[in-house]
Amino acid sequence: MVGGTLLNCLTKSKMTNKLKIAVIDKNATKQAENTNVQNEDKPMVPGIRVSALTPLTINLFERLSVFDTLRNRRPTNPNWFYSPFTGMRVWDQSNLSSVSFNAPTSDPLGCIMDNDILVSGLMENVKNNIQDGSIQVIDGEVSAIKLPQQAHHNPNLIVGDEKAVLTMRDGSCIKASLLVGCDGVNSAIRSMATVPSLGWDYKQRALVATIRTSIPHSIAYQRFLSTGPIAMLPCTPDGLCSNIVWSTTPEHAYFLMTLEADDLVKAINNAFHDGQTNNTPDAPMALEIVQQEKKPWRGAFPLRRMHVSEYVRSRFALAGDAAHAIHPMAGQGVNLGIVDAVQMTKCLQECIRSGADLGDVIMLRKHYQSVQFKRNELMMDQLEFIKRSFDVGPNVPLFPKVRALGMSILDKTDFIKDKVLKFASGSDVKLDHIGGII
Amino acid sequence: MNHYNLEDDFRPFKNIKALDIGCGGGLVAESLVRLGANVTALDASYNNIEIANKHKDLALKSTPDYDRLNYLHCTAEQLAAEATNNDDLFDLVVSFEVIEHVADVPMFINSICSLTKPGGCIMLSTINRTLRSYALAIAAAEYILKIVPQGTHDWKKFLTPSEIQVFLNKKNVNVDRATGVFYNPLTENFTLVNDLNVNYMLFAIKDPKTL
Repeated sequence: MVGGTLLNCLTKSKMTNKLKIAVIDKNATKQAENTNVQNEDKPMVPGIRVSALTPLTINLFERLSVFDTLRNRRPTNPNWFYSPFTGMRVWDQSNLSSVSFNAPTSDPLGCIMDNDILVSGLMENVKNNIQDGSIQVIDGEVSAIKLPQQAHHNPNLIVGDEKAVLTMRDGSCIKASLLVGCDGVNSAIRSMATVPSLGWDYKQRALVATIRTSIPHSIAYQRFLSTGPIAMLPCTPDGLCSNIVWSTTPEHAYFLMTLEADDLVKAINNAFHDGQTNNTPDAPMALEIVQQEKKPWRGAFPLRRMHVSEYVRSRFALAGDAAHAIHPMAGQGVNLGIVDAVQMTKCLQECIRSGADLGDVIMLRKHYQSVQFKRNELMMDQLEFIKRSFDVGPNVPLFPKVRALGMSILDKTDFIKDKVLKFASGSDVKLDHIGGII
Repeated sequence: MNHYNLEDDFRPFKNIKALDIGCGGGLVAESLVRLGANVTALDASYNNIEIANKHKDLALKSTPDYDRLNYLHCTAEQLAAEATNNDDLFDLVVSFEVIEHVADVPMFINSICSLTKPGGCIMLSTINRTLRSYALAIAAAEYILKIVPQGTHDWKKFLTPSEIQVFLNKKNVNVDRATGVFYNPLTENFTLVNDLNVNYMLFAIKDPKTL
């Protein structure tokens, strides 16, 4: 997703639009087939893997015409893929207090999108606009990479300025001025480059599934249980289906995975409504699990926090989850990666504008790493603070009450809420340098 | 827009003939080539030219930029003496951090000016001769922070902007703009400032009516 976004940013922004780019993706062919399936005019059934997009990301995709490309797939129902949410409700297990966020304007707080649809839209949008063969999509896997050596005593000193050389599984070679690894949290490129990362396992797994709700809604609900947060995110435009992201202990997650669909619905309802009082938000009831042909109806994945200590080397950069992984509770993960792509575009424009070599480590450090590391670390630390304050169980004396007090103060202090929302929507990021080339 | 060739490739210096005097390893020369210029770069040190050529092979080989960069082992004075007609002259002459090491400054500036086409531009960068430049460029850079080797610079050979301007004016070259350069050793950032007291750059234009 981050790779697709970077590709769109580069091909549609001035100065970078003439770059020769190779896209290496082992799922490239599969995705192209997916696109054809989605073209059929059946109602959209969301998959179990979705992303929450912030207003900034939505803005970017409008600017890059990614959303227009998706709208064109179904002219009779152009917003078939877009499920906005206008409010958020957050509360905890004690049911003592809650925080609600509402969109200050008519624009939504964000939207939920099926990952597969988004990725296919990004690729289709690039292919629509590129005819001259400057973009090459390679269906394959990288088996080894070789980067220019940095001198030990001074990382600014590059021994030789040769290209980054990629060896593919089939034995072919690709040489590039810059290699950007956007291959996710288990990045193979990152381990080939032996970039050290700092992080820890959350000792949690997230269970994901799609449910049909009793009433349509456009609110993102999240309740913090002592085992971890459970979220309900509207994931169809009519608001009738919601995605469940349930972070919990690994044992509990494995147990939930063994349940039949009906029992899982009961467990979900219990998790949201157990001990409900008048103080707490009234989340819709789950009716049933949405099942799709030939696709799993639920899944689980481990959660960890990870941040690499360096994003860049000579002719090499990491972006998105390959550089940083966070807890899904705030729905920020993919959006941080998308800002990486926006900043990388700016960095490459800066290289081209000043005549510097693409992949020059000093340029990458100054215009990409230093900006993104700070921003991502700040976001990750704030989320960590929130997560930890909810991790404290009900057995600790007083703490739940203190937390409830904190939440009710936050709920009534509009200017703090405003600041939180602004930062979470990415309003600090400028997009002026993106787009302009059709 | 057309003027800067911005419509297709980003090559704002396309078809410009540029000369880099004292190119060292070719840091500026390679950048100028990437921006589209046809570059001749010279250095008085044979070692530097060898290094620059090696780097050129690694960085530009098999790109269209490769043939637009030529390194020469000679001095500005030698090149100026060889230049006989207008085709041997340049649209843009740059010489960064060189003039403070030159033995005969008037002759060096004369050579630069005579190598520039009428209407062409000259860019120079160097260090001012002030108390502050002594403190920063010599005491701090060479002895405290040790960014540059001791003895690199001789403060007495530093030139003030007006001294350079006098020599330029004699050859019908007028300073169009001057800007200071500030280096922050903590962030390792260079920024352009108004203060010319330490590092500065001059941008000058040769009178188009010069014969």
